[in-house]
Amino acid sequence: MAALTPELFAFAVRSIVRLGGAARAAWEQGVRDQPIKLADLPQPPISDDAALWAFFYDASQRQRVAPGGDLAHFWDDGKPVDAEARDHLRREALRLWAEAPGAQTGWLQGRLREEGSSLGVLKQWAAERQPPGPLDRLALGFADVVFEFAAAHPVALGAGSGGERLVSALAANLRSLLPDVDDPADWQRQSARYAFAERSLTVVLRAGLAVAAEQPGLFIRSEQYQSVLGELLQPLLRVFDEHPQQRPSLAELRDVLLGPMARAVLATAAAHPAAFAGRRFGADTALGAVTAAVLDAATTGELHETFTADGLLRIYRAALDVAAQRPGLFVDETGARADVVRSVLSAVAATLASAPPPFGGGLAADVAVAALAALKGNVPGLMRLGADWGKVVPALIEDVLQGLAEGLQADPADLSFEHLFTNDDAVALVSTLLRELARTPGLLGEAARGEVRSLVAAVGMAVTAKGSQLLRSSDWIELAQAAATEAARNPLRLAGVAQRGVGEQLLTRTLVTVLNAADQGFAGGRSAATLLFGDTLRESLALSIQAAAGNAARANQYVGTLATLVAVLNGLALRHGERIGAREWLFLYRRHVAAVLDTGLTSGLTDEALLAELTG
Amino acid sequence: MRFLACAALLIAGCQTAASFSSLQASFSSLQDLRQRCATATDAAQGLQCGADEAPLFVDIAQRAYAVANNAADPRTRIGLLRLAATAGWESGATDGLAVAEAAAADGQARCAEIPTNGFGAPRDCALLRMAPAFIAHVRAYAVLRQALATSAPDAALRAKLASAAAGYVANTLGSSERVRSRIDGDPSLHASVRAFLDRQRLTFYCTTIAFADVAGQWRLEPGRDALLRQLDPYTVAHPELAAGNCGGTA
Repeated sequence: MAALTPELFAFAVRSIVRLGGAARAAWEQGVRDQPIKLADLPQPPISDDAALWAFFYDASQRQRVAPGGDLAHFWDDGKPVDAEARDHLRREALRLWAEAPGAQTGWLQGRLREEGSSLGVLKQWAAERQPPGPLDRLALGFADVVFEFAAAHPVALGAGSGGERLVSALAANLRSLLPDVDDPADWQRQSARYAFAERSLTVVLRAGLAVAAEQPGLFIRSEQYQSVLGELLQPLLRVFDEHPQQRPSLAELRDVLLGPMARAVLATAAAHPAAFAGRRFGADTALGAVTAAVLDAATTGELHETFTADGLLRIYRAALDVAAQRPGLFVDETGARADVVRSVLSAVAATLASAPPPFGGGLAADVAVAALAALKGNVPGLMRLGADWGKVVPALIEDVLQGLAEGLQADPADLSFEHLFTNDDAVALVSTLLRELARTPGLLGEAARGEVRSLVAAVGMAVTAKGSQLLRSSDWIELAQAAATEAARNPLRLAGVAQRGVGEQLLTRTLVTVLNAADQGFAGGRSAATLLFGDTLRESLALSIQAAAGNAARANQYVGTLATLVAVLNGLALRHGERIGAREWLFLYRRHVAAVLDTGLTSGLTDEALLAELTG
Repeated sequence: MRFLACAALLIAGCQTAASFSSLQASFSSLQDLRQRCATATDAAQGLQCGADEAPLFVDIAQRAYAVANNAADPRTRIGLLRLAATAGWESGATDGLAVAEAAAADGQARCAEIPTNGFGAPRDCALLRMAPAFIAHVRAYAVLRQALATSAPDAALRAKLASAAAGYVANTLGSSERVRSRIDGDPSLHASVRAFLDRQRLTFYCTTIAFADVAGQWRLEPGRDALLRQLDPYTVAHPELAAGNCGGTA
């Protein structure tokens, strides 16, 4: 057991006094606010005649018993003159009573009802106006002390040195959120908010201690923790305040997401300590923008349906990673930039709604994460766009996904893509395309959108072409990267040429021609000529793209000749199987592809000449 | 540690809450006993009826008033003053009513000090504000009972009754209606308190009729009709104040 230091002893005494005060206040409140029984005041008996006179002497009837009134002759000095008069007066009183305004009989019924329900018990408070109950008081007093304890002596929680600073920061946040239980306006207006905030901080505390325990070397200054964790919580509380109708889902979100989000923030802090020291990752900055966007997505109908909690968490981690490394993407000197993360999520959700399999809602988070990763690697190019960069990335996502859909749906019955690509492969393909395209300045912006879309569509269409199954998904991903690179280097040559459909673009024709020719090589079953598949086919396709991009005008004219070149080389391999393997086939293809696309001539490619090239 | 906690609790004044709780429980038990005795025979209920509870109510009132001086929380103090006042008027005894008057005056002042934007003690303050009317009723009722019990009143009793009757409406209905608007305008107050106060308003009205009846029989001044005319402002404002609701019994 740790030694009791003078400071700890002093704190213990203060805490006991405070808890004693809270307990006393709670007990007193319980005693003074308890319902009490109180008897009605004693009431004397009244004679029937006295009651009858009082009834008719009431201001509303008085003129009838006054001299000259229609009932005056029934009375003598406040008493009925005889039994007959008494009976008449009683009948008249009953008649009047029956015709009395509803307030009288209604009041009687109401009185009986009140007596029946209250049973003479008087309560202190109207239900909707009562102060926090004794238990609330005690709990709040207890929380107050616990968090002061945590702030003063966090080591006592066993959290280690990293936990000390975290707990101090959290305690400072919580104490500022605790209600003043003696202020009705504050309590009644915000009691739900406080309960929500207190629970939120508890969730964050638990998550933070877990991180501190896992990463004892984590060093963040207490005030940085305070700022960063405040930035994590404030967007949540802001949504809570502004959208009361969303509170049930917010409570669920808090319980499911907030802890992992806190862990993600702290893990990011561990990975990028310098970023945490930077001002722009602190309050009102990148972290706040990213957090607000993800929380917004988690509570907004359309996005909430698209992204699962786990997916949002992965997006949050990815976005934090970007924000920590490139806070300037999210904030500038004047504050938060356009809500980029929100735009990315919206673009993904909107585009995936009509995307072909496997790009459905299930891959939404993966695509969004891929987009955020693409951002991270291409900051200089994006920054060049100034404030517009926030619009460019969602547009890029849209063009890639819609371009892919367009290419794949050229033949809706074709299931090649689904057969070739697992979900992970599909995401990797999109990720590769996004990354390559995002780092090409010329392909970013409104003017390049058509080119981007037809470039991706060409890849998509090639995937459905005959012969596409000779490649693995990893080959397709490399090929997509090569196509994007060449397209970037050679604007408007391979794709994006106006007035041409996807099938007419040079890139599409090049890929489809070679794939179809490769497929032909397998028509007769396995033989010495069945070399063109896998790596060999991928490389030959990449070589074809390069050659076509370098000489687009003539390539457009002679691209069909590539099938002849493939057939010539396959024939050579069939006839000279002992001399021609994959390496040799590819060697010869590399030597002739550019010339074939330039001239369209293959007449000089005899067996002898080609074999001579191998030995020469 | 436990010692420290206990000591802190005691130092903080938990004795006040303990006393309050105990006195309130005694008051409730005494009221229950009085009500059960009023509606059941001793033998049937096995109750110790017949004893004068007044000194017991007075004792509760005096002790509550004394403990109130030690209460640190103004709302607890108000609660104790409310208990002193209610026990005082329930006693019907002279010294009990004196305590009730003092507690009511003290309590009303404390209630006025509660910030309007703070959590106060709406029921207790309502009862304390109404207490002067209740105390006036209890005092007047004692005289009326005495009058109803005699067929040959002496001059002293006639003078006492005349005095009690003359001031009754002003001291009860007049006094209570002056504070009712404030009480009715308090949204924090539980409806059961307003229902209770409404019932006492009818009691004031019916008691006025009883006073008027005796005044008429004894030929006192103010006379029967003069006393009944004092009710006019209240019967106009509250239609439920009708003799039919008092119930003729004699």
